[in-house]
Amino acid sequence: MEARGSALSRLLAEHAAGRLSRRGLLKAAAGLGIFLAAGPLGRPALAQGTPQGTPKRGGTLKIAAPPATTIDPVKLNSPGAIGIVQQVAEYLVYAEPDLSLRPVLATRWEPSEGGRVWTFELRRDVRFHDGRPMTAADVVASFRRLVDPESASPAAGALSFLKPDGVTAVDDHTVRFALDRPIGDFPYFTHIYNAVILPADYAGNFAEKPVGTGPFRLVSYRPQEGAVFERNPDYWDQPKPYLDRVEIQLHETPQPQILALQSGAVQVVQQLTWLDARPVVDDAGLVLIEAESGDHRQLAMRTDMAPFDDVRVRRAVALCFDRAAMVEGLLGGRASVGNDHPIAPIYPERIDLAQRSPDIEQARALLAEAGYPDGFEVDLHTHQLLELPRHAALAQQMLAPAGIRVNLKVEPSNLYYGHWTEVPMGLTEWTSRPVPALILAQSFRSDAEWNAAHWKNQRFDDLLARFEAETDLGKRSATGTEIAALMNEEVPAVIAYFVRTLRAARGEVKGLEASMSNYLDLSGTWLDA
Amino acid sequence: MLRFAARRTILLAATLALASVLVFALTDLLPGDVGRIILGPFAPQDAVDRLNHELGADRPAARRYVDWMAGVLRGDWGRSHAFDTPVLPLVAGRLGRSLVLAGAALVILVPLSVAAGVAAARREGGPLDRALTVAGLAVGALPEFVTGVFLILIFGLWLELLPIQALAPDGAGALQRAAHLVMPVACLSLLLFAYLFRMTRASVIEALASDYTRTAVLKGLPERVVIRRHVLRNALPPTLAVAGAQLGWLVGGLVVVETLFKYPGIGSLLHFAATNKDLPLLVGCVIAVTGVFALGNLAADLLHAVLDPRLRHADAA
Repeated sequence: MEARGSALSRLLAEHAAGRLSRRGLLKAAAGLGIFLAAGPLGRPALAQGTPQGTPKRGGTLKIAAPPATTIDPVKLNSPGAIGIVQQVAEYLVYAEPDLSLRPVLATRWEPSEGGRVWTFELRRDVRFHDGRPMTAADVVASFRRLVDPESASPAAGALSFLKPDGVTAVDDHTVRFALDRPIGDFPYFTHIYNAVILPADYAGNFAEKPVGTGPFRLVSYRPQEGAVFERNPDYWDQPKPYLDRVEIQLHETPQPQILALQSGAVQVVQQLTWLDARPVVDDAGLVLIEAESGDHRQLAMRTDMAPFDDVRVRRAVALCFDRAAMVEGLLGGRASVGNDHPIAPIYPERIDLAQRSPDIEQARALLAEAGYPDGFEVDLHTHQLLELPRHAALAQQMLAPAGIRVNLKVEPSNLYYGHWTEVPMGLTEWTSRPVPALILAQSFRSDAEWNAAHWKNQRFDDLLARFEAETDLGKRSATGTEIAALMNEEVPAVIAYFVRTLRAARGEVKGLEASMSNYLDLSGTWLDA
Repeated sequence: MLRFAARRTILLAATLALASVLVFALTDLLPGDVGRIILGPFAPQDAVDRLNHELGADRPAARRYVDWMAGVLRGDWGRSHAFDTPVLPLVAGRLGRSLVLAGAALVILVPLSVAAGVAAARREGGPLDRALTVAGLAVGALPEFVTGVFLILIFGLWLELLPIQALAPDGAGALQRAAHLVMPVACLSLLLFAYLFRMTRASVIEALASDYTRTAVLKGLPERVVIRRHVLRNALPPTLAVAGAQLGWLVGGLVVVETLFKYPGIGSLLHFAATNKDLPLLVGCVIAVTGVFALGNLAADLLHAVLDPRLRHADAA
């Protein structure tokens, strides 16, 4: 029975990875004497947004959102604050759910010098909420502010290749970014959540003086409570926006958000996890929309310390994970199986690499070879967030048959974030980045601050530099495949799956899309009341 | 009486000062780093260090305490690190809201549980007594998130009688505001009823069995007068002391109820400040809650003195 079970999970993994059609899976499973109910596989197709239709003007949309700390765009990091700021201020470009780029405040962009210099042409006749026109000076100031060490912005890490004087205005409507090294996908980096365009004289007081170019104006904001917005009648993209008013309520916990959605006190829940989404699926009046994303969990192993300094041990760990079972059990199937590298299927780069399947026998053999025939004991640290505690518990169970005895250390988030790059084995959530190079650079480059595995690999660094700089997608896919293969072989971290981001709405909400980064764009949203 | 009040006021000031010292001394022991908490796990370390420096979080606790005290004496309670807004208006607004909820709960709860306690005690062991004891205990034993969710499901989602969020929209009238508060008040009343009811019931039973009650009855006084003048006067002080002690919790400890019913009061603000190491906000909240707690106990003691002539005379002597 056990052999049959693992054969089944291998088939499920193949199916999830897209190499086995659904019919092929059902047939193969029947060959094993297992008849799969249509249930887990026969889910309705992924709905990326609520229906578009012919928009109607007017109405107030109420949204439940997760907590927010500071709403200063330069410093903000909390999901609630991101949703608030995105109604008021805008990016140069917007990455759609399929990762195509929509021009927003920039209309055209092109690389030169092999991707080291990027020139953006700005939209004309865009005005800030205080009536002043948006010009190249505002864009230059906005980006300089992010990378200026004085302003302590979390964005500085993502834009490490940009110096303040690298951003210059060519004329009133053209901005030039001269980068330290070629970045083939640079336009996506202008879409990181801190990079909204603010007036050049912005003084850090967004809560008191919220000025942007966005579809809505901030009327009031109360910490821990929420924000109220009204329609910006002078928005550049007429006839948008369609809503008269938007209210964002901030909630500390998920349950009141679901109850509020069910009762109609709110019409949208900005983001929720599968664990909390069950009542939404069961309620015919509610819609669950989802977006493929690059969100994943890294189970990082300290490659500079025994026992994980031996690559055979890390490979053995990776072989213990039944990824298909994890996707089903932890996320109700709303995820795709991972292969120990962070280049998710959502990204345009095509990775051609065989999926690792669970194999306890081989894991035991590798451990014996490495000098651990009876396994070993290790502390696994993680924190109270999302499905991480349950993920860690499942890891503990799956590693046990190979003799790896895991002591779970589930900590409060603020404690874990204080030492997560120091622990021998740590399970950390990584949210989507617009390009995979950003995650690779932040978490696996030899000198990366967040290299929790302490993995130093010259070949990886060289490949990554090529991958980052390449402007041609075909060549980037080839390099990406080399990177993925190297990570799959070296296993600095086990990456078991890529989740989908979920968003819930009541039936009357139209034209709302899910977002891989949980961004909240309401410019095309309307109410069918 | 005046001297009694003056002594208690000095004690209150000392309590508040001690609370503020404790907050500063203990915050360093809380896990985490405030700059890291604000900027997130993936911000560069030098950005975190710079922010900590800007906020003053890298200075020793004693130094920060002196600066803070100097600010407070000037009327400046500092700025919240995480929200980047002044502490005083934020704390004052939240405290007012919490006092409304706590006040509403006490206004409903105290008369109800005292009346029920007296009624049950007069027929000790009777069907009413048993029903109230069992029902009060059963409901009081449930944690507030269970009671609260049940209330929301029944009255909010199923019967659609009451709004599930306790905060009325801006510009709502008094009646509408009251309607929004019904569910959280009911939730708190259910939670505390058994406590106050049992206290009253036990004291009333004891007072009913006492010599002075027997004397009053034998004197030929009507039962109504005996209960009001002799029994309640002796039985109420313990109940009031309990109610006064609950005020601190009702104002500062309602994290779950406030979160569930979307009624951000000082409890959730305090919780946020503690988990996010937001020192100026934390100390502001602690002072506010400690102040209310101490005033609640003071009010209970004063009421006790009013009810019990022995206390008044002892003090005057």
